[in-house]
Amino acid sequence: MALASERPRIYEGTRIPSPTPSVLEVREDLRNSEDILTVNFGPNHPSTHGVLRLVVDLYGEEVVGLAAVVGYLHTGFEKNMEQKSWWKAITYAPRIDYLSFQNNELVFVLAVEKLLEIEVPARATWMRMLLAELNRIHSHLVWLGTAALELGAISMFWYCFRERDRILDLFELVAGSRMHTRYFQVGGLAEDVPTGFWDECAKFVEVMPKAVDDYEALVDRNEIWLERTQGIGLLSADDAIALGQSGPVLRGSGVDWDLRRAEPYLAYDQVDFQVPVYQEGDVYARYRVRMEEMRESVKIVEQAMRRMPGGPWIADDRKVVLPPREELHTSMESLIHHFKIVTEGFRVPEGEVYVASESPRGELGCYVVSDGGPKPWRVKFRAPSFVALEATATCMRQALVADMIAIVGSLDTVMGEVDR
Amino acid sequence: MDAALHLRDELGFNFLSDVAATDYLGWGAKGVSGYIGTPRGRDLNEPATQGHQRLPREKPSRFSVSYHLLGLQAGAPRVRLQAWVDDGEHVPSLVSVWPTADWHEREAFDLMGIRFDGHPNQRRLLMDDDWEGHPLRKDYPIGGEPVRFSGEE
Amino acid sequence: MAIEDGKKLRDHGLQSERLLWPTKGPGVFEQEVAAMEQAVGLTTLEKAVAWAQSKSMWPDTFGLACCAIEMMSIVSSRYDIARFGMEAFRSSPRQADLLIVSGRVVHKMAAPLRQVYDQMLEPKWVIAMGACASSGGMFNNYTTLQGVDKIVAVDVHVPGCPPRPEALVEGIVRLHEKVMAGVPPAYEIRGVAS
Repeated sequence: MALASERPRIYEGTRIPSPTPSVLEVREDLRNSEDILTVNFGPNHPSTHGVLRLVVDLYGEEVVGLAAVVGYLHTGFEKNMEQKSWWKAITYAPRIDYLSFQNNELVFVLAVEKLLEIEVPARATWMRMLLAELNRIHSHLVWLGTAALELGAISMFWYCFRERDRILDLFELVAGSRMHTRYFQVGGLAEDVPTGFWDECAKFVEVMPKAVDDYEALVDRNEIWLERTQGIGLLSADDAIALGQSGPVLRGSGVDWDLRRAEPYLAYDQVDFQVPVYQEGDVYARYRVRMEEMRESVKIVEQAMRRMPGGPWIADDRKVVLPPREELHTSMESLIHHFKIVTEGFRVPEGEVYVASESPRGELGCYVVSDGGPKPWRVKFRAPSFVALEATATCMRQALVADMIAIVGSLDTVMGEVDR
Repeated sequence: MDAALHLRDELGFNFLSDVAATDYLGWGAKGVSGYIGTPRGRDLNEPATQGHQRLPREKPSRFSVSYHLLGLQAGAPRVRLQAWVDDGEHVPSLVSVWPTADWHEREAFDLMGIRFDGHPNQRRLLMDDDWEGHPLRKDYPIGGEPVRFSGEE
Repeated sequence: MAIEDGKKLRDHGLQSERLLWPTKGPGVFEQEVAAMEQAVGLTTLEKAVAWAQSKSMWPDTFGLACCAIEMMSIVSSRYDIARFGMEAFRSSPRQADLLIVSGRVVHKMAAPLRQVYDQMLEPKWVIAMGACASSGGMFNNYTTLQGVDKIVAVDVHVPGCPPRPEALVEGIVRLHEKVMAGVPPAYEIRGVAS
C-alpha cells in the first residue's frame, strides 16, 4: 500500500475525485454540453436507504456528476446526550444506527466502562458478543432484503424478513422489546438472560444456515443479479483505505481488516471464526462478504451459546451499578447507592476515550469526553455509513443510472448513522 | 500538517477513523455539567461533595479537534492527534493527507464552527444551508419545546 | 347510542373486536366511532365508497428512521398488510392515499414532507407512526420537529418507540374504522397544529 510521501497529495492511480473527494464533478469536455441533465434523487425515494439526497448529473444514462446531500435526519443525538445522565444517554445510542441497534449501545457502554475502569463479568461479555452477532445477522438480512428489492429481486425481501422476525423474537425474549432494546448497561447487562432463551437460540442457529443457503440459491447464480452486480462500483484497496472505509466495503476491496480480529474486544479472541475477504471491489464482492459474514456470525452465536459462562451478569461496583432489589430492604448503604445512582447518576472520572467496534457497516467508534460529572461532556459517534457515503463519488465512475442504485445499496448506509 | 504527514508516511497510520471537535466552554466551572467538587476535598458546607475530588484539568483553549488515527497493521495502533484552537482560529485541512477527512471536517465546521483552511468544499453538511449558529457549541441552547403534561391546568 | 340496541359492533361492520377477548365490551374508541357513525349517517353509496377507500388504501413509501424498519416488517409475511389490501407501497405520492410518517422529522426534512403531502390527491390520510412523528419523541431539541402534526394534519397517532408491527396494524385498522364510519380525513376536521 504505497502512498506518495513527497508532498501532501493523493497518490497516483487513485480514482478519488479531486479536488473534493466526495463530489464527482462533470468532466471538462462535457461541462458545457447541453446534454447534461441534473436530476435530484430526493430525500423521499424508494431506493435510497432512508433520506439520502443525491444530486446527479446525467449524460444520457451515464452518471457524470454526483453530490450527496445529507442532514435530513440530523436529530442532534450528541447534544441530547450531553444533557442527560450517563445512564439515560444509553437510551439515545441505539437509535443512531437503527439497523444494528445494540452495536451502538455496546460501543458507548464500552467507552464508559473504559473510563470507569470497571470490570465486566464474563457472562455479560459473552452475552454481549452473542447479541452483537445477532445484530450483525439482523442488519445483513435487512440489507439483503432491501438491496435485492431495489435491484428487482423482490421476493428476497419476504424471505429475509422471515428470518429477521425470528431474530427479533429472540431480542424480545431477552430484553422485552423487539428493537432498541437498551439491554446493555454500564457494567454488564441490565438483567440476567431469561430461561427459555437458549432453546430458542438453538432452534434459530439450526435454521439460519439453511436460510442463508436459500438466499444464495435465489440470487447467487441468477444471471440478472450477476450482470447487475459484477464489475459495478469498483473501489480499489488503496482508495478504500484513503477514504476511511471499513467493514464489508473494505473487505470487499481486498483488505483483510476486521476489528474483531485485529483489536479484539469482548470475547472475540476466544471464538473461532473466519473473516471473508474478496478482492474484486465491486458490488458483488461486498454482497458475498456480507453473506459469508452471516454464516460466520451464526457460528459465533453457536459457540457463545455453548460456552456461555454462568455467574453474575453485571459488575459489582455499587457506585455505578444498581444494587439488587432484595438488598434494598436490609442495607442502608444499598439504599443510598440506589438513590444516588437514580437521581444524580453515577460519576465517570475525567478523561477522554475512543472505542471502536466492528458494526455490520464497519468501524463504529465512540469518542467520549467526561469531565468527572454525572453527565457526558461530549459524545461523538464515528459512523461508518458517514464515510461510506464519501465513497459514493469514487465508486460512481463510469456508472449508469441503474448501477447507481446498486452501488448505494451495496454501501449499506443507514441515514440515522450518517446524520446522527 | 507536518505531524499528520509524518504519522501517515513514517509511522504508517494510514486510516483516519474520526475527526471529533469538542467545545470546552465552561469546563470545570461550577454548575455547568452538574459537577460539584472542590479541590480541597470534602467540604461540610457544600452538601454534595464526596471525598477528595479534583476539578478537571485545565484545557489549553476552547476547542479541540481530535483526529483519531489507526494503523492497518497487526496490533492496530491508534493515535489521537489533537489541535487546540480558540474561537475564530483556523486549522489546516487534512483532506489532502486523508481524503476521508472531507466530510468530517465539514461536519466539524457545521456543528462547531471551526474553519479548516484549504478545504475544497466547506459548507454546511448536516444542518440546513441557511442555518445560523453552530449547534453543538456549549453556548447554543438545546432548543425544543417545553413539554406540556396533560394533567396540568 | 348505537350500543343500546343490542347489536354487536361487528354487526355494524366494524371489525376491531379483539378476538382473544370476545367478552370484552366495546372500548371508548369503538363507542365513539359508533356514535359518530350514527351521527354522520352515510348513505349507502357513501358507505360503499368508504368501504372501497378503506379496503385498498395504498401507503406512500415515507420511511425515515427506525420506525421505517418496523413499517417494512408489516409488509413481511408475519404481519401481513396485504390482507388489508395495502401491500402496494407506492413510491409516487400522487398515487398514494396514506402517508405513514415513520421516524423523526427534522426541520430540513419538513419541507420535503410537506411537498410530498401536498402532492397527494384527496382524500388522503396521515398516520404519525411512533413517538418521534407524533410528538418529537425523546428528541426535544433544536432540530427535531416536535410532532409532525405541526405541518400536516394527522388522523391517527401510533405510540411506541418503535411501535410493534401489531401496534401499527392496530393504528391502520382504527383508521379504516374511522373511514368506514364516515369520519372525514383530518385535513377537513382540523388543520395543522399552530
